[in-house]
Amino acid sequence: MTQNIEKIKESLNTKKIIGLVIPDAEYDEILIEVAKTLGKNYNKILYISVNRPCESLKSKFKENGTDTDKFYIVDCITRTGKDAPPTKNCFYISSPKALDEIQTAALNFLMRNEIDVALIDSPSSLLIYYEHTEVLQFLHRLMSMLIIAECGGVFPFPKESNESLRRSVEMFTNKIIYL
Amino acid sequence: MIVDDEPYIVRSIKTVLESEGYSVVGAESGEECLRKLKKEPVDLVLMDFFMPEMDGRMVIEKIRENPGLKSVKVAVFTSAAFGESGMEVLKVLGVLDYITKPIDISEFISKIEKILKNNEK
Repeated sequence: MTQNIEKIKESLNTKKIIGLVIPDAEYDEILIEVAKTLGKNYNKILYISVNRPCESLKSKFKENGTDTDKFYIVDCITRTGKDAPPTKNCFYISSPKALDEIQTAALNFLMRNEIDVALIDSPSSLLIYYEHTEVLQFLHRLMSMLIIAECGGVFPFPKESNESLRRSVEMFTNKIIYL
Repeated sequence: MIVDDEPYIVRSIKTVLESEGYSVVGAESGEECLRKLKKEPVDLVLMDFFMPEMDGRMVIEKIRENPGLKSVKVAVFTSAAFGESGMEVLKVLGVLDYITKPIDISEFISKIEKILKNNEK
């Protein structure tokens, strides 16, 4: 694991867009570990959470000793179930279906905060709402935004499921790291 | 063969290339491309990357899996900017070149000529 984290750090130091392929069973656990590593190595991290509420994400980060103040979170899920009070460094999207809103929120954070690196957790979940090409186009737009903003990007994918999206996204990354 | 899910792009590229004397077949999906390739041999497939159902990579992989289509040359025609991993994949799949949209017609034609000349060698 340490060796893999080193690979991620090395790739991100050059502001690259990397794809992470994570075994399904360890996906959540490894992603929290990756976030911790990002928190240790960068000052400003954009975290786009497709299916984990900001609140639970922040408490997971705290449990894990991750500095939550460094994270700017785009929360796509909380508002689908309840009203969300304004939260520091968190922007609530009406639903994961709202790709334009996600893109705009990400762009705002990128423009206003000189973000070092962005992580999207978990792009494959968008396949629940949209078909393959629409998700792929959205992720490509997001990658283009990161490149323009000179920001690194981490796009994690579960190894065993939704292989076709991962293989398509791979086309636009600088590097794929298999964990 | 020009493969793009946008019918107007297929029509426009077809018109441009036919005016240069090429014989062009159009396909509006990966499935249509594979179906037509079985019936009608072509020298070059110009493939869009973002297509519903099967994206460009999937279609190219299908072409490469078919021994009967071994001689078909493929170039990718896309608005997407590929990363280093993508360029490696294109190389492995034997993709000769990639042409970005929007196109400059004269550059586009000379690129097609170049790809087809390499094809003759």
